[in-house]
Amino acid sequence: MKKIIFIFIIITILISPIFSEKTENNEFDEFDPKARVKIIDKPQDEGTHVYVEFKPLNKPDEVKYYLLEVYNKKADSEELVSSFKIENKGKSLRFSSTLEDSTYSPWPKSRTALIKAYSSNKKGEKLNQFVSKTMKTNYSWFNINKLSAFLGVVIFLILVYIFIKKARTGTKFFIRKIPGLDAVDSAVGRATEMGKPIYYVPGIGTTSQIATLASLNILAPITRKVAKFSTPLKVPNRDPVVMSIAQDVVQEAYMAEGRPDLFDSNDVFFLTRQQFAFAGSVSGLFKREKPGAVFLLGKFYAESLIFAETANDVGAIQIAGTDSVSQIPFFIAACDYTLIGEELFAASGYLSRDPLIVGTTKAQDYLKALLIILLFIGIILNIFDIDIITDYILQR
Amino acid sequence: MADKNENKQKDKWYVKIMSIKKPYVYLGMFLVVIIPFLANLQIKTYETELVGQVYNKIEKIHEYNINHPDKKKGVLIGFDYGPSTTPECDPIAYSVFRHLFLRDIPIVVWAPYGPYLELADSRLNRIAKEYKANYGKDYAFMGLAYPATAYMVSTSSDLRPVFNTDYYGNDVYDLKILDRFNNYDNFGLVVSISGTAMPEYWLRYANSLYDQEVSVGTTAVNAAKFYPYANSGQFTGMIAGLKGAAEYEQKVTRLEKEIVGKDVKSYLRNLYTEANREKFNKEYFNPNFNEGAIRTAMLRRHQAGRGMSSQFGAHIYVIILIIIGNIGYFFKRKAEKDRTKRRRGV
Amino acid sequence: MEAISILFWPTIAVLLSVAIYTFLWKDNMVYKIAEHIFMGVSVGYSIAYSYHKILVPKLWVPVKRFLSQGNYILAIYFILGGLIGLLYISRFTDKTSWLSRYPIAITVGFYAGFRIVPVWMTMVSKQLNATIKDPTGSPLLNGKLFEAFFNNPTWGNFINAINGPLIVVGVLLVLIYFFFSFSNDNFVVKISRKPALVILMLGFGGAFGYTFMARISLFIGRMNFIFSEWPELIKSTLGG
Repeated sequence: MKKIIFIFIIITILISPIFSEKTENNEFDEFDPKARVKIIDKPQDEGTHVYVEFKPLNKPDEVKYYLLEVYNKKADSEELVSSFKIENKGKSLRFSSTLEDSTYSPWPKSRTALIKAYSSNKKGEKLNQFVSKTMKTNYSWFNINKLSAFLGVVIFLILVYIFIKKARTGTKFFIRKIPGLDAVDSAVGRATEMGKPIYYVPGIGTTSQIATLASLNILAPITRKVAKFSTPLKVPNRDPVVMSIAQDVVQEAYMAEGRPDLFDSNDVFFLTRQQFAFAGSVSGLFKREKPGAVFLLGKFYAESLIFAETANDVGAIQIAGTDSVSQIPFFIAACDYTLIGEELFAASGYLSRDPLIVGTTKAQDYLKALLIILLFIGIILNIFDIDIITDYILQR
Repeated sequence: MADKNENKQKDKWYVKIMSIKKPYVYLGMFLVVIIPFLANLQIKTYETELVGQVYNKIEKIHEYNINHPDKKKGVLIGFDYGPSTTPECDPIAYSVFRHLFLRDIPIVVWAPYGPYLELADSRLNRIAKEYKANYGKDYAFMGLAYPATAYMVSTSSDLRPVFNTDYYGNDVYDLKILDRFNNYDNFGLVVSISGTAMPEYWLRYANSLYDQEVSVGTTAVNAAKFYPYANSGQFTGMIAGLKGAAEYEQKVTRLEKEIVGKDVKSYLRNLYTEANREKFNKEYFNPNFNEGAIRTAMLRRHQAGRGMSSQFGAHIYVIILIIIGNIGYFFKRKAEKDRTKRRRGV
Repeated sequence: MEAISILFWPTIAVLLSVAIYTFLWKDNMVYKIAEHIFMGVSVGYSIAYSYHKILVPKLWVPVKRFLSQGNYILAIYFILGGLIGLLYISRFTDKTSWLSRYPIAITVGFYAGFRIVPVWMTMVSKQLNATIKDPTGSPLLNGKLFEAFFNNPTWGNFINAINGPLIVVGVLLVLIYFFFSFSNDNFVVKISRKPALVILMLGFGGAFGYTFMARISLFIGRMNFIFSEWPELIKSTLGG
């Protein structure tokens, strides 16, 4: 029953443009003094935008100036919305106008545009009205131009739903081995042998960035590994909200391993919001505490090299991963193991085997496969000058 | 025997060149950067297509404004950089502002984070002072636009209600420039001068949702990330790093000499007289150019160009170091392989 | 007196810059002092501007305005938003820290949904479109450019001709590299691994070179301040 309602709603949204009112008066009209005026409704909007094309047909020495006014015609009143002074250079001009602020109405609505044109003088005074034209605008609930985004999201959601359901019922999904993750065990072991703490920097991003969320997902299984060896784990943070989530993650991971005594909230701490102040203080911490292993996973900007070089200097083993294209080269050059881009997101599924994450990773993979196939087909079709894919599906 | 071998290895030239102490490398870098800088060397730089696209777009807006004086288009500047990236972004900001003021294009500026506000205020007014721009008529600084995405989306209809006041506390409905320049329909271009990933947000919310053309002036760190967008046409050109800033500076300096005359110093000296000084509100800038201020203004016009000479030295230095390091590494590995072969042979 | 105040703070800035650079030698007391000053000042500054630039103008002023205009519904929206934001402070006690999950959930959930269409359009749709056709509308796999090269074999024509195919092949190979569902023994994955890595490393090498320029620019900026702006300040304040 739910599925039927869902499908019904989608179909209604898709075909709603058919039920909106047709535009009238969408052709050129001619007036005297002569001008050609056309009102164009902006397609796929909420009914508030119009374009007006105005071409003066009189010579400049007959009528030098015009005044064009756009009104929002309501049932009982006409509200002046825009007024344009035009100098007659014989050229056709196009004006855009918003009939009403869309926040006045909570849903799309058809408005009526009224155009009046006057011959005018240099001061812009109204001399002689010679144009009066109205048009009702079209509105749509659904912007057809964004259809590809809608379909992409719907397909992805269906895939995510299917794969998470399967993963929860115990189906084993394959994620290929990601080099660098096998090193996590040896990194933790090395730090334990040296009797040094482990540092985990979840990047300098906020919770609205995916890399930060992926990093916090990886923090849980790493904390569980660390809990087995009772090695001190420290998590410096740049964002207070990320720190709150990291504290919860670390505490729950310690509890899951049966070692709630190991959790100290001072070990997951906030330093500062300033990017380079954070970099400076973390570098100072590395130099003083000389960690055995450093994890740099998450969103990094320019301070990434400072972290990597300082950790290298103190002799720590570094495992880094980020989706910032500009910082990956630094991590590759300076760190022992690097997770490039999407490997960071897949790593959280690989390490934890959490059905949610594994299911999402598989759904991402299938969507990627679909996009690769679409791209391939698009390239082949484009060679034969067939542009269905570029014009309708992968729109610019 | 093993010790003797080790000592022999240490004397080899390829081991020596790979173990140059770090302080000497840093000292070399310091000298190579500081000497061209202090000698005030300027290198002319070749101009690339991406920077040209930004310049040409602003010129097109200027042509459009001349042909349609009642339907002028303005430019919205996202001042998206802070004190930590001023060496690269300041020259970009100065040249873009200079270009816009020279061409009388109305400018609206906002900044998405607190620490950027004072920087934006000082940079904007510094350049406005050089072209006798009137605050409220020729340019406006809206202040803090946090969270930036809400403001980018609101500008599709009207940015005034979300700001309430500008940076200086003036009511938004009192500023004449905002009567017209308050939504994307009347902005011909958005320029995001940034040291972070903010231009991606401009792309997502201004360009993809509302088809607004966006250009970017960015630090070199982010330039590599934005190249795919610049190549696909989503960004209308890109000014990348100090090199991009130097190119843009060159273009704008040429333009300035055409418009203002070859002697920019005397233009600045004669800009403010006793007669016209009262017209300018001293809250924004002090309408007076003394010799020190003129010297600084002239130096600022070549800030990126002077930096490029040091860049050139630094890049050559690092290339030489990389080649030396690779040669040393190659011979070291070769020697190790030979030793292993000899040991196996014995 | 005024002259000293103009000169004093930039001089402190110069000393702090030099103190940070001593880190290149080794971690020392001077660096630690500068680092702690930086951190402390940045936190204090954040608190001050959060109040003056965010709380007051973006919450207090609009609420006052809406209440004075009689627009009570909008005022309530703002006040509700402020109260939900205040729930973040509940983290300070263990008993009430669960309340902070509400604002976190609202912001994370809202941003995740809000970004779907813009991110799809910007990063997927338009980028894949640009892999098939360039901004001027001509295809990337352009036979005409190859013809032009064969007719007039110059370096520039060669680069123009090979640019498009390189981008197309590179995009396809790297997309396959990041495909996690095939095992490492799969034929397609094995064949594409090395070329994809070469393309990735070439790209990263280019990005690395660019960021090197950025670092040097920051160093030049500091040198400009220490050797150019600061002496100018000394000259102008103490000299005249």
